[in-house]
Amino acid sequence: MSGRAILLRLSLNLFLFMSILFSSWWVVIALMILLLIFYEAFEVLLWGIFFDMLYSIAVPFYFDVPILFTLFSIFLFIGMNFSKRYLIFYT
Amino acid sequence: MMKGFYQENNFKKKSFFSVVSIGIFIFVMILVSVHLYNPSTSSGIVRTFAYPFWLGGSRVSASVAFFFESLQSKKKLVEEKRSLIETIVNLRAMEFENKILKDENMDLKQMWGQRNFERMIIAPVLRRPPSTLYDTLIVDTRGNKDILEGMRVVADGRILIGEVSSVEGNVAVVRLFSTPGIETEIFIGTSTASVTAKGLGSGNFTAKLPREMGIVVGENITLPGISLPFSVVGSVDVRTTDPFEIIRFRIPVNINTLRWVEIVIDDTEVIDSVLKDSSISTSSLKSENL
Repeated sequence: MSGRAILLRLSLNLFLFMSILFSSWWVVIALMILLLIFYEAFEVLLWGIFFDMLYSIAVPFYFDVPILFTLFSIFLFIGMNFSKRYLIFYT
Repeated sequence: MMKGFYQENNFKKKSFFSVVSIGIFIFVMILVSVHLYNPSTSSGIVRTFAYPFWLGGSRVSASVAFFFESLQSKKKLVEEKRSLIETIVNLRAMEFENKILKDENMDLKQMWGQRNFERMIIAPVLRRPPSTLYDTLIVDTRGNKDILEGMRVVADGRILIGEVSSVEGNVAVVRLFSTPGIETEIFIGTSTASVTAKGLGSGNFTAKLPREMGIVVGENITLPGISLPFSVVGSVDVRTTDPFEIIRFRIPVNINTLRWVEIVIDDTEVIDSVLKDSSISTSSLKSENL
Protein backbone atom coordinates (compact mmCIF):
# COMPACT_ATOMS: atom_id res chain seq x y z
CA MET A 1 0.00 0.00 0.00
CA SER A 2 1.40 3.39 -1.01
CA GLY A 3 1.92 6.27 1.40
CA ARG A 4 -0.99 8.16 -0.16
CA ALA A 5 -3.31 5.19 0.25
CA ILE A 6 -2.34 4.83 3.90
CA LEU A 7 -2.96 8.55 4.46
CA LEU A 8 -6.40 8.31 2.81
CA ARG A 9 -7.27 5.29 4.92
CA LEU A 10 -6.17 7.03 8.11
CA SER A 11 -8.15 10.17 7.16
CA LEU A 12 -11.29 8.16 6.46
CA ASN A 13 -10.90 6.39 9.81
CA LEU A 14 -10.49 9.72 11.58
CA PHE A 15 -13.66 11.02 9.90
CA LEU A 16 -15.43 7.83 10.90
CA PHE A 17 -14.37 8.25 14.53
CA MET A 18 -15.50 11.90 14.57
CA SER A 19 -18.80 11.01 12.89
CA ILE A 20 -19.51 8.34 15.53
CA LEU A 21 -19.00 10.93 18.26
CA PHE A 22 -20.65 13.94 16.65
CA SER A 23 -22.75 12.95 13.66
CA SER A 24 -25.81 10.91 12.77
CA TRP A 25 -25.70 7.13 12.47
CA TRP A 26 -26.39 7.24 8.73
CA VAL A 27 -23.26 9.35 8.17
CA VAL A 28 -21.30 6.62 9.96
CA ILE A 29 -22.77 3.99 7.62
CA ALA A 30 -21.97 6.11 4.54
CA LEU A 31 -18.34 6.49 5.66
CA MET A 32 -18.09 2.77 6.39
CA ILE A 33 -19.26 1.98 2.86
CA LEU A 34 -16.76 4.50 1.44
CA LEU A 35 -13.95 2.92 3.40
CA LEU A 36 -14.96 -0.57 2.27
CA ILE A 37 -15.08 0.51 -1.37
CA PHE A 38 -11.39 1.47 -1.30
CA TYR A 39 -9.98 -1.10 1.13
CA GLU A 40 -10.60 -4.42 2.80
CA ALA A 41 -11.23 -2.26 5.84
CA PHE A 42 -11.44 -4.66 8.79
CA GLU A 43 -11.55 -1.62 11.10
CA VAL A 44 -15.26 -1.10 10.33
CA LEU A 45 -15.92 -4.06 12.63
CA LEU A 46 -14.15 -2.24 15.46
CA TRP A 47 -16.05 0.97 14.73
CA GLY A 48 -19.27 -1.05 14.79
CA ILE A 49 -18.69 -2.41 18.30
CA PHE A 50 -17.39 1.01 19.40
CA PHE A 51 -20.70 2.60 18.28
CA ASP A 52 -22.72 -0.02 20.17
CA MET A 53 -20.67 0.34 23.33
CA LEU A 54 -21.27 4.09 23.23
CA TYR A 55 -24.97 4.23 22.49
CA SER A 56 -26.65 0.85 22.73
CA ILE A 57 -29.38 -0.19 25.12
CA ALA A 58 -31.79 -3.10 24.89
CA VAL A 59 -34.68 -1.84 22.77
CA PRO A 60 -37.73 -4.11 22.30
CA PHE A 61 -38.22 -2.90 18.72
CA TYR A 62 -34.70 -4.16 17.89
CA PHE A 63 -35.40 -7.50 19.63
CA ASP A 64 -33.47 -6.32 22.73
CA VAL A 65 -30.21 -6.86 20.85
CA PRO A 66 -27.70 -4.21 21.98
CA ILE A 67 -25.24 -4.99 19.16
CA LEU A 68 -27.32 -3.91 16.20
CA PHE A 69 -24.63 -1.70 14.66
CA THR A 70 -21.97 -4.39 15.10
CA LEU A 71 -24.15 -6.91 13.27
CA PHE A 72 -24.73 -4.39 10.51
CA SER A 73 -21.00 -3.67 10.16
CA ILE A 74 -20.24 -7.43 9.97
CA PHE A 75 -22.90 -7.81 7.29
CA LEU A 76 -21.47 -4.79 5.42
CA PHE A 77 -17.89 -6.05 5.69
CA ILE A 78 -18.68 -9.54 4.42
CA GLY A 79 -21.11 -8.29 1.76
CA MET A 80 -18.79 -5.64 0.35
CA ASN A 81 -15.75 -7.92 0.27
CA PHE A 82 -17.77 -10.72 -1.28
CA SER A 83 -19.19 -8.48 -4.02
CA LYS A 84 -15.71 -7.10 -4.81
CA ARG A 85 -14.70 -10.54 -6.10
CA TYR A 86 -17.26 -10.26 -8.87
CA LEU A 87 -16.83 -6.61 -9.91
CA ILE A 88 -14.38 -5.58 -12.66
CA PHE A 89 -13.49 -2.39 -10.78
CA TYR A 90 -11.32 -4.52 -8.50
CA THR A 91 -9.44 -6.58 -11.15
CA MET B 1 -19.82 -5.51 -27.28
CA MET B 2 -20.51 -3.67 -24.06
CA LYS B 3 -18.39 -4.88 -21.22
CA GLY B 4 -20.31 -5.98 -18.12
CA PHE B 5 -19.56 -4.96 -14.59
CA TYR B 6 -19.08 -8.56 -13.54
CA GLN B 7 -15.84 -10.49 -13.87
CA GLU B 8 -15.12 -14.17 -14.05
CA ASN B 9 -14.28 -15.72 -10.74
CA ASN B 10 -10.48 -15.53 -11.18
CA PHE B 11 -9.73 -14.71 -7.56
CA LYS B 12 -9.87 -18.29 -6.45
CA LYS B 13 -6.18 -18.44 -5.65
CA LYS B 14 -6.50 -15.50 -3.28
CA SER B 15 -8.00 -16.17 0.14
CA PHE B 16 -11.40 -14.57 0.77
CA PHE B 17 -10.17 -12.48 3.71
CA SER B 18 -6.70 -11.72 4.90
CA VAL B 19 -5.31 -13.25 8.09
CA VAL B 20 -5.45 -9.80 9.75
CA SER B 21 -9.17 -9.47 8.97
CA ILE B 22 -9.91 -12.87 10.47
CA GLY B 23 -7.87 -11.95 13.56
CA ILE B 24 -9.78 -8.68 13.93
CA PHE B 25 -13.05 -10.55 13.43
CA ILE B 26 -12.20 -12.90 16.32
CA PHE B 27 -11.19 -9.89 18.46
CA VAL B 28 -14.52 -8.18 17.69
CA MET B 29 -16.38 -11.34 18.65
CA ILE B 30 -14.58 -11.30 22.01
CA LEU B 31 -15.58 -7.65 22.48
CA VAL B 32 -19.18 -8.47 21.55
CA SER B 33 -19.23 -11.28 24.14
CA VAL B 34 -17.86 -8.92 26.80
CA HIS B 35 -20.42 -6.26 25.83
CA LEU B 36 -23.32 -8.73 25.95
CA TYR B 37 -22.17 -10.30 29.22
CA ASN B 38 -21.34 -7.06 31.05
CA PRO B 39 -22.58 -4.02 29.08
CA SER B 40 -22.09 -1.54 31.94
CA THR B 41 -18.33 -2.16 32.18
CA SER B 42 -17.61 -2.11 28.45
CA SER B 43 -19.85 0.92 27.84
CA GLY B 44 -18.41 2.64 30.91
CA ILE B 45 -14.85 2.40 29.58
CA VAL B 46 -15.81 3.58 26.09
CA ARG B 47 -18.01 6.43 27.36
CA THR B 48 -15.31 7.62 29.75
CA PHE B 49 -12.97 7.74 26.77
CA ALA B 50 -15.53 9.61 24.62
CA TYR B 51 -16.59 12.08 27.33
CA PRO B 52 -13.75 14.65 26.80
CA PHE B 53 -14.49 14.65 23.06
CA TRP B 54 -18.21 15.28 23.65
CA LEU B 55 -17.44 17.99 26.18
CA GLY B 56 -15.00 19.64 23.78
CA GLY B 57 -17.49 19.32 20.94
CA SER B 58 -20.28 21.06 22.86
CA ARG B 59 -17.89 23.85 23.90
CA VAL B 60 -16.75 24.35 20.29
CA SER B 61 -20.34 24.43 19.00
CA ALA B 62 -21.27 26.95 21.74
CA SER B 63 -18.30 29.14 20.77
CA VAL B 64 -19.21 28.98 17.07
CA ALA B 65 -22.83 29.91 17.89
CA PHE B 66 -21.59 32.82 20.05
CA PHE B 67 -19.31 34.03 17.24
CA PHE B 68 -22.13 34.09 14.69
CA GLU B 69 -24.47 35.81 17.16
CA SER B 70 -21.83 38.50 17.77
CA LEU B 71 -21.84 39.29 14.04
CA GLN B 72 -25.40 40.63 14.21
CA SER B 73 -25.86 44.34 13.45
CA LYS B 74 -26.16 46.91 16.26
CA LYS B 75 -29.60 47.99 15.06
CA LYS B 76 -30.88 44.44 15.31
CA LEU B 77 -29.42 44.05 18.80
CA VAL B 78 -31.06 47.28 20.02
CA GLU B 79 -34.42 46.14 18.61
CA GLU B 80 -34.00 42.77 20.26
CA LYS B 81 -33.10 44.42 23.58
CA ARG B 82 -36.25 46.60 23.51
CA SER B 83 -38.38 43.60 22.69
CA LEU B 84 -36.83 41.61 25.56
CA ILE B 85 -37.38 44.45 28.07
CA GLU B 86 -41.04 44.55 27.04
CA THR B 87 -41.29 40.78 27.47
CA ILE B 88 -39.67 40.94 30.92
CA VAL B 89 -42.22 43.54 32.09
CA ASN B 90 -45.07 41.32 30.91
CA LEU B 91 -43.53 38.23 32.46
CA ARG B 92 -43.09 39.94 35.85
CA ALA B 93 -46.80 40.65 35.94
CA MET B 94 -47.50 37.04 35.04
CA GLU B 95 -44.98 35.74 37.58
CA PHE B 96 -46.96 37.19 40.47
CA GLU B 97 -50.16 35.57 39.24
CA ASN B 98 -48.36 32.29 38.59
CA LYS B 99 -46.93 32.23 42.10
CA ILE B 100 -50.37 32.43 43.65
CA LEU B 101 -51.70 29.74 41.33
CA LYS B 102 -48.67 27.53 41.92
CA ASP B 103 -49.04 27.70 45.71
CA GLU B 104 -52.72 26.89 45.39
CA ASN B 105 -51.93 24.06 43.00
CA MET B 106 -49.33 22.62 45.38
CA ASP B 107 -51.79 22.69 48.30
CA LEU B 108 -54.40 20.88 46.23
CA LYS B 109 -51.90 18.26 45.05
CA GLN B 110 -50.71 17.61 48.58
CA MET B 111 -54.33 17.20 49.68
CA TRP B 112 -54.88 14.80 46.77
CA GLY B 113 -51.73 12.83 47.54
CA GLN B 114 -49.45 14.02 44.73
CA ARG B 115 -46.51 16.36 44.72
CA ASN B 116 -44.38 18.09 42.18
CA PHE B 117 -40.77 17.10 41.74
CA GLU B 118 -38.89 18.97 44.43
CA ARG B 119 -35.25 18.50 43.58
CA MET B 120 -33.92 18.24 40.08
CA ILE B 121 -30.42 18.33 38.65
CA ILE B 122 -29.89 20.03 35.32
CA ALA B 123 -27.84 17.93 32.93
CA PRO B 124 -26.57 19.12 29.54
CA VAL B 125 -27.40 16.80 26.64
CA LEU B 126 -24.28 15.55 24.88
CA ARG B 127 -25.90 13.34 22.24
CA ARG B 128 -29.50 13.06 21.14
CA PRO B 129 -31.56 11.28 18.46
CA PRO B 130 -31.23 10.82 15.51
CA SER B 131 -27.47 10.58 16.12
CA THR B 132 -27.98 7.74 18.55
CA LEU B 133 -29.54 4.89 16.64
CA TYR B 134 -31.27 3.55 19.75
CA ASP B 135 -33.37 6.69 20.47
CA THR B 136 -31.51 7.53 23.66
CA LEU B 137 -30.06 10.67 25.18
CA ILE B 138 -26.49 10.83 26.43
CA VAL B 139 -26.32 13.41 29.22
CA ASP B 140 -23.46 14.93 31.18
CA THR B 141 -23.84 14.17 34.90
CA ARG B 142 -20.52 15.84 35.80
CA GLY B 143 -19.81 13.00 38.17
CA ASN B 144 -22.83 13.71 40.36
CA LYS B 145 -23.24 10.72 42.68
CA ASP B 146 -26.92 11.53 43.36
CA ILE B 147 -27.91 10.47 39.86
CA LEU B 148 -28.92 6.83 39.82
CA GLU B 149 -30.38 4.32 37.42
CA GLY B 150 -34.18 4.50 37.11
CA MET B 151 -34.51 8.19 37.98
CA ARG B 152 -37.01 10.15 35.93
CA VAL B 153 -35.93 12.70 33.38
CA VAL B 154 -37.86 15.88 32.65
CA ALA B 155 -37.55 18.35 29.78
CA ASP B 156 -38.52 22.03 29.98
CA GLY B 157 -39.08 21.62 33.72
CA ARG B 158 -42.44 19.88 33.38
CA ILE B 159 -42.51 17.27 30.60
CA LEU B 160 -41.52 13.75 31.60
CA ILE B 161 -39.54 12.20 28.76
CA GLY B 162 -37.82 9.11 30.12
CA GLU B 163 -35.71 7.38 32.73
CA VAL B 164 -32.01 7.05 33.41
CA SER B 165 -31.00 3.72 31.91
CA SER B 166 -27.39 3.62 33.08
CA VAL B 167 -24.80 5.86 34.73
CA GLU B 168 -21.09 5.49 34.01
CA GLY B 169 -18.62 8.07 35.25
CA ASN B 170 -19.63 11.49 33.95
CA VAL B 171 -22.16 10.17 31.47
CA ALA B 172 -25.71 8.86 31.86
CA VAL B 173 -27.87 7.23 29.20
CA VAL B 174 -31.53 8.23 29.21
CA ARG B 175 -34.02 5.79 27.79
CA LEU B 176 -36.92 7.79 26.41
CA PHE B 177 -40.51 6.66 26.90
CA SER B 178 -40.79 7.02 23.14
CA THR B 179 -37.96 4.57 22.42
CA PRO B 180 -39.36 2.14 19.80
CA GLY B 181 -41.23 -0.72 21.41
CA ILE B 182 -41.16 0.64 24.97
CA GLU B 183 -44.59 0.42 26.61
CA THR B 184 -45.82 3.12 28.99
CA GLU B 185 -49.02 3.22 31.03
CA ILE B 186 -51.01 6.42 30.45
CA PHE B 187 -54.34 8.01 31.38
CA ILE B 188 -56.34 9.83 28.72
CA GLY B 189 -58.62 12.72 29.66
CA THR B 190 -60.68 12.10 32.77
CA SER B 191 -60.80 8.34 32.25
CA THR B 192 -59.53 6.26 35.16
CA ALA B 193 -58.70 3.28 32.93
CA SER B 194 -55.01 3.07 32.13
CA VAL B 195 -53.99 2.51 28.54
CA THR B 196 -50.70 1.07 27.23
CA ALA B 197 -48.94 3.40 24.83
CA LYS B 198 -46.12 2.13 22.63
CA GLY B 199 -43.12 4.26 21.70
CA LEU B 200 -42.45 4.89 18.02
CA GLY B 201 -39.23 6.86 18.38
CA SER B 202 -38.33 10.59 18.47
CA GLY B 203 -41.07 11.49 20.95
CA ASN B 204 -43.95 9.75 19.12
CA PHE B 205 -46.39 7.26 20.58
CA THR B 206 -49.33 5.13 19.55
CA ALA B 207 -52.02 3.33 21.56
CA LYS B 208 -54.85 0.99 20.67
CA LEU B 209 -58.05 1.24 22.71
CA PRO B 210 -61.76 0.45 22.47
CA ARG B 211 -63.89 2.88 20.49
CA GLU B 212 -66.35 3.09 23.38
CA MET B 213 -63.87 5.27 25.27
CA GLY B 214 -64.79 8.09 22.88
CA ILE B 215 -61.36 9.73 22.78
CA VAL B 216 -61.18 13.02 20.89
CA VAL B 217 -58.23 14.98 19.54
CA GLY B 218 -56.78 17.42 22.08
CA GLU B 219 -57.57 15.43 25.25
CA ASN B 220 -54.92 15.53 27.96
CA ILE B 221 -52.64 12.57 28.55
CA THR B 222 -51.03 11.99 31.95
CA LEU B 223 -48.87 9.33 33.55
CA PRO B 224 -50.14 7.35 36.56
CA GLY B 225 -49.20 8.87 39.92
CA ILE B 226 -47.59 11.96 38.39
CA SER B 227 -49.20 15.35 38.36
CA LEU B 228 -47.14 16.69 35.48
CA PRO B 229 -48.65 16.86 31.97
CA PHE B 230 -47.38 14.33 29.45
CA SER B 231 -49.03 15.02 26.10
CA VAL B 232 -52.30 15.59 24.26
CA VAL B 233 -54.03 13.32 21.77
CA GLY B 234 -52.78 14.25 18.29
CA SER B 235 -54.93 12.04 16.05
CA VAL B 236 -57.54 9.31 16.32
CA ASP B 237 -57.86 6.66 13.61
CA VAL B 238 -61.27 5.02 13.54
CA ARG B 239 -62.34 2.29 11.12
CA THR B 240 -65.99 1.32 10.94
CA THR B 241 -65.11 -2.40 10.82
CA ASP B 242 -62.70 -2.25 13.77
CA PRO B 243 -63.98 -2.18 17.37
CA PHE B 244 -60.69 -0.52 18.37
CA GLU B 245 -59.32 2.89 17.54
CA ILE B 246 -55.69 3.92 17.26
CA ILE B 247 -54.56 7.16 18.82
CA ARG B 248 -51.27 8.89 18.06
CA PHE B 249 -49.56 11.57 20.07
CA ARG B 250 -46.16 13.11 20.67
CA ILE B 251 -44.58 14.78 23.65
CA PRO B 252 -44.63 18.58 23.42
CA VAL B 253 -40.83 18.93 23.32
CA ASN B 254 -38.57 18.36 20.37
CA ILE B 255 -36.18 15.59 21.39
CA ASN B 256 -33.88 16.33 18.47
CA THR B 257 -33.09 19.85 19.67
CA LEU B 258 -32.92 19.28 23.44
CA ARG B 259 -29.92 20.99 25.04
CA TRP B 260 -30.75 20.42 28.72
CA VAL B 261 -32.78 17.97 30.73
CA GLU B 262 -33.56 17.76 34.44
CA ILE B 263 -33.02 14.57 36.36
CA VAL B 264 -35.46 14.14 39.26
CA ILE B 265 -33.58 13.42 42.48
CA ASP B 266 -36.41 13.80 44.99
CA ASP B 267 -38.92 11.39 43.49
CA THR B 268 -41.63 11.18 46.13
CA GLU B 269 -44.98 11.58 44.41
CA VAL B 270 -46.11 7.97 44.44
CA ILE B 271 -44.67 7.33 47.91
CA ASP B 272 -46.70 10.27 49.22
CA SER B 273 -50.00 8.86 48.03
CA VAL B 274 -49.21 5.49 49.65
CA LEU B 275 -48.13 7.16 52.87
CA LYS B 276 -51.34 9.11 53.13
CA ASP B 277 -53.23 5.86 53.51
CA SER B 278 -50.82 4.29 55.96
CA SER B 279 -50.47 7.51 58.01
CA ILE B 280 -46.67 7.53 57.99
CA SER B 281 -44.91 10.82 57.42
CA THR B 282 -42.69 11.27 54.41
CA SER B 283 -39.86 12.61 56.51
CA SER B 284 -39.69 9.46 58.63
CA LEU B 285 -39.44 7.29 55.51
CA LYS B 286 -36.76 9.54 54.08
CA SER B 287 -34.73 9.32 57.26
CA GLU B 288 -35.06 5.52 57.22
CA ASN B 289 -33.84 5.43 53.62
CA LEU B 290 -30.91 7.67 54.44
